[in-house]
Amino acid sequence: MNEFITLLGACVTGFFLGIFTGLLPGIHVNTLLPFMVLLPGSGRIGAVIIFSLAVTHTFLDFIPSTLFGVPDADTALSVLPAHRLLLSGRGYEAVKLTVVGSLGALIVSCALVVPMVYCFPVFYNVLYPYIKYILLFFVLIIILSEKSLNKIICAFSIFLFSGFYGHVVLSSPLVSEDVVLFPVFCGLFGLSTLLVSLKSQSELPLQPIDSRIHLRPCEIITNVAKGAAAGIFVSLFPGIGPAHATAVISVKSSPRQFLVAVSGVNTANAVYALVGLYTVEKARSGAVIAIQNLIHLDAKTFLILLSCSLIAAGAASVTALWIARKLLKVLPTITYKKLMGSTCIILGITVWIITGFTGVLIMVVGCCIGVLPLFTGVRRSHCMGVLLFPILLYYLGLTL
Amino acid sequence: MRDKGVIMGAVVCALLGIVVLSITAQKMQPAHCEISSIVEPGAYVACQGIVYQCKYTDEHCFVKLFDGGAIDVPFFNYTGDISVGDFLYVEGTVSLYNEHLEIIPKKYEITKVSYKICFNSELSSEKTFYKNLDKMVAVVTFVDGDPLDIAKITDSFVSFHGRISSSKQGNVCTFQVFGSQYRFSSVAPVAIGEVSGFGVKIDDEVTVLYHEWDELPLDTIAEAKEKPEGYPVKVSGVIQSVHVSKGHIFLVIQDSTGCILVPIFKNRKDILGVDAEMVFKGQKITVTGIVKVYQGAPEILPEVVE
Repeated sequence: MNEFITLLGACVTGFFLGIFTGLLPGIHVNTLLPFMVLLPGSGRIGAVIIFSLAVTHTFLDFIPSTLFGVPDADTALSVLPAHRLLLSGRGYEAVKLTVVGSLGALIVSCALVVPMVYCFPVFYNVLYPYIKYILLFFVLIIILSEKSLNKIICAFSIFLFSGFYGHVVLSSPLVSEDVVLFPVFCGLFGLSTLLVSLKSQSELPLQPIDSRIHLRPCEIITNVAKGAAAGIFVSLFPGIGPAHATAVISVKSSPRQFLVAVSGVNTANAVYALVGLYTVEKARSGAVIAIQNLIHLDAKTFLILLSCSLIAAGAASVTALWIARKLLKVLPTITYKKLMGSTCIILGITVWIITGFTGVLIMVVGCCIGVLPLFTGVRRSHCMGVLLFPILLYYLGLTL
Repeated sequence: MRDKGVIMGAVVCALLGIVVLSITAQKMQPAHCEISSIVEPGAYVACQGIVYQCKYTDEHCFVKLFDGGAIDVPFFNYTGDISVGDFLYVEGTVSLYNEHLEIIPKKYEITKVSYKICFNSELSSEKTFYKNLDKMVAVVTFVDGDPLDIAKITDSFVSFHGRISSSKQGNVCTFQVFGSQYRFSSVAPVAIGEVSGFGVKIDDEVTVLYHEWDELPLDTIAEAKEKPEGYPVKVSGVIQSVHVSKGHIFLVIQDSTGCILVPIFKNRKDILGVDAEMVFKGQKITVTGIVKVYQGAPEILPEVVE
């Protein structure tokens, strides 16, 4: 009984830390992990805190990207569809879609854990030699799925542009590796969206707290499954993040479908990173590396962590919707241009504080690339070349 | 296509920005630092030193770099050639893996180094540094403009000379020299014999950079019996008796100075290639092995039987 209460306390601690990291732009789960060295010898309790934190974070991190257009590496591609829904008065639905996607993917992931424990090593061994071809195939699919030759050329150019940008920024000492993705994604997906919407939109419409979701149940189930599958894919291979998988699954999705799928990727990835550690002893995320450093992951601890993730997810779902409701009541009372303008300024200052002048330069260049899809009418996911291009170079063994 | 002017402007700005970032990145040389000064992850650093351990697994190569302090440098999907003893310059981000700091390399340069005994004339070359290790002289190719504090590395050089008392072959050969407190590791396989050379010492482990190996000189049986337990010896004599019990073979060999028991246990017979039918009284035999004292009497546990 005592152990149960201790573990529940650890889960609640992780949950509150997850709310903190999820809501604050620029603060990632990995930002807090160095402080976890304060928990040496904490073993299972430390692991529960970390895992609950990681799962809660995936539910909350869509709120700043939806309401303020401030993305992080995991939510970058959701900014535009979520912001579009916000601008049409459906901000609450946007947040709800991400909560549904995350919760659905978590349930699917937990349900599939037992078969995946057996399949994971097989998938890993069979697919690993072909990962570069799989990635190349998906990049081509994303580009060629544009509707006209002109758009395909634009998409290809934007992919290359973003790719070179990513190669220069990610393979150099310009900004510390831990924080480099923050200015990159703020520029590519955040600032560019804010500036373009500033140009076209003068008022934020009223945000009715309407609980309806404009998706059919089968569409929700399909996209939850898509997100969970992509989450498995991400946790299988080193170097491939939720953003890569998001770019792949975003082909031919409506904004609502996309939000369900993309939120599912992050949550499923958090769960399957743990499955990866348990089955093939490969740690694929900062949180799982921290857990690995604290304990040896046996079957009992694995089940405890999964149970705590379900508790944290339930609480995070309710909390995310509650916070969204409170914020959406306040937002329309502020002039949209002022809100977006001050968000841009806060974004710039935050990037400056975290990454210095070089980071601001990186964000501005990213913004110039980020506006291209908006003006050429191609999909935003081509900007994910920023990560896909360097990772392809890595897997193909090429150097520039 | 909408807003052609904006698109062109964005493209030009993005291009210009990428060029500026690229030039800035090229010019941004990280400060050289000593490995011991690296204490936390996240920093972009440049270090150089000597490779004192190198493990190849699948497509990856895991290197340990030493400049007075030590750090791991993993090379993923690596197809090049790094060997123990090479000089390595590496630039990259410090990362934490399994509670150990490591440098994830972004740029690196390997300088192949030959270690040898050299003549005085070679020492005058500007491109060498040396350290007189008793009779052995270590010569290392110097890296141009190298700011590395060579003394820190050479201070960790130790020479060794003696008889190998045990060796274990694997990807890297590990062995012990009788009377030495160090554990030695060498890329080249070595068996029981006489060895001399030098290597880089970290804690109690010595990575061999250069060695010379020779077979043990022949001892008389009387000399061998005087040696302390664990000492490697090589004796030659005539088999006086062969006794087989429970699969073990017990040989007594004799030379002009005395006789000694050589037990060949059944789990060693295949390794030594010895069978009861192959040995007989009056046969001349040479045994290389380790002196062992059993119930007060010295005997030789054989490693090589000829």
